Amino acid sequence: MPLLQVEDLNAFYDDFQALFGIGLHLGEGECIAVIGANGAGKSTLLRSLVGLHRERSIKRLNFADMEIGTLAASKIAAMGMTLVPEGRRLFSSLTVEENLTIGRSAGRIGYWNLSRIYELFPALPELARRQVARLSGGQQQMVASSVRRDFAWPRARHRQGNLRQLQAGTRSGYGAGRSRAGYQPSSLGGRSHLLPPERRRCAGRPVRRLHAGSHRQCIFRHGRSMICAVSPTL
Amino acid sequence: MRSVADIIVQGILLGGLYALFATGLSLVFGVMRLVNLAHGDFIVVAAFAAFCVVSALPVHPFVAILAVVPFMAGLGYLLQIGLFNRLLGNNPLRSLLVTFGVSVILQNMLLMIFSADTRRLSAGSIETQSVDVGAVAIGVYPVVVFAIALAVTMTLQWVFYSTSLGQRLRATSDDPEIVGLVGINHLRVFAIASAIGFAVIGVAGVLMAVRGNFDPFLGPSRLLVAFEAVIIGGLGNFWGTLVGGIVIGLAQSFGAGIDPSYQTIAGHIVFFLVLLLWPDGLFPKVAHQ
Repeated sequence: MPLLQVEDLNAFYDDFQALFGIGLHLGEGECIAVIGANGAGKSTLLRSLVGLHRERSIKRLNFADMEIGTLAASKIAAMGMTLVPEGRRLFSSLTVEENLTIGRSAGRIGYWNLSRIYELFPALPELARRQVARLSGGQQQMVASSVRRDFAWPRARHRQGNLRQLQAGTRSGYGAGRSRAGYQPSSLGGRSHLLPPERRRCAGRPVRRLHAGSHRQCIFRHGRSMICAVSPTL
Repeated sequence: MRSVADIIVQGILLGGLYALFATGLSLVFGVMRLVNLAHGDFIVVAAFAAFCVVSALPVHPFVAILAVVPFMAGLGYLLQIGLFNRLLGNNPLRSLLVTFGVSVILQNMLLMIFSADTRRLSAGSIETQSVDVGAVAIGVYPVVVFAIALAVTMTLQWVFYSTSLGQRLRATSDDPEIVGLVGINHLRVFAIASAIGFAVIGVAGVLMAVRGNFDPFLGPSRLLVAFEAVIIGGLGNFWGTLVGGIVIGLAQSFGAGIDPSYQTIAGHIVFFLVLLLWPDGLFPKVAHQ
């Protein structure tokens, strides 16, 4: 039984139809890359799957044997599937620390916690109580990178599975953050051994390639499962 | 001729009531970007709700607050879920038109039920008590109102900046779409924000009903004062809203000191001047990225 099953997905923007009859299966541990030019509908596809894009018709959208076609994005996120938004999309009136913990207050428990993030970005703790809107662009990028990590390494809240969708842009880097910015455990130096080996194998490869050659990507994952959207022109 | 000290004290205390009018509006606008043109009419609804309570039960108007506040909060929650949440989106005209319609409906409903008679709630001797401080006689009731306004502002500030509910409210205000991805239902957060805003409306309505006469058509003028206070203080800033209320109160007090007929216009003139000199208000929120 696939983890995620999509049948006949159509998405619209008013009169314009963006997606035509998309069907998709994503098994446990599977990784799918969706490739297309700008405007091809990659983001629309992922946004439709997590419930952010509501102008859609869908025959079947099953996640972990549950029909989620009518659920709000918040419900779907609580079930364990989410999307990491493109761009920074930080909450600008929240402090750095609040941005890092808001997923937790909504029930997200993952590998990344504050102390692990602060270890990775030693410059962050002194910014913890600052409002994001008052940070420089590079500092915001560092925060965004940390928030992404929280998205990227969920721990299953439900036994059925925990699917994460990431749509991330690594537009600009921040010092040490850049060389380590990546979702694959192998890029996190000595910490990779903390993750189960099968997760490492599958999560590592496609993500690494995406990071090497593209600006925009969406990654959809259940520990080891994901869908990535790639624009080959970049 | 009243002394300047007297005018200042009365103005500041009057500002407390105006701040209470404005706080609910500030909150609803700050979180949902919803401009509620029926805001003033809901203040009047709260006043009439208190009138019903006091007519039915032999209780002091201050006790009626305990009944009116939950009633208004529930009303706000249900209205947000049932109506205002459907007005979200890029077109601000929809919420303006619908809340304007709600305003007309409320005024006429109140007229039908309560007639056009002006009413007032009697709070007993506290209304006329005053304390002499030097040459200035300070009314006890305006001080109580001001203290309540201060307490409401402090409470909201605490809820918004020191609780996890506040974290959710601010995050939803920043980006109602992305909060869905961290498991927060923005529509529910909006309903909670609306309930809090209406609870403050409830407090403001009862205090207004004790302070002076009210009738079903008083809403729009309350709305105007509330708007002015919110904009003077800077959008989405509770302390700013309190200061905005005080600025209007002071202006009106000085206007009335010159000639009683100048009271209202003086408030509007000061509002106009502030808008001209500081278009973002006195305490603008930090710019969004």
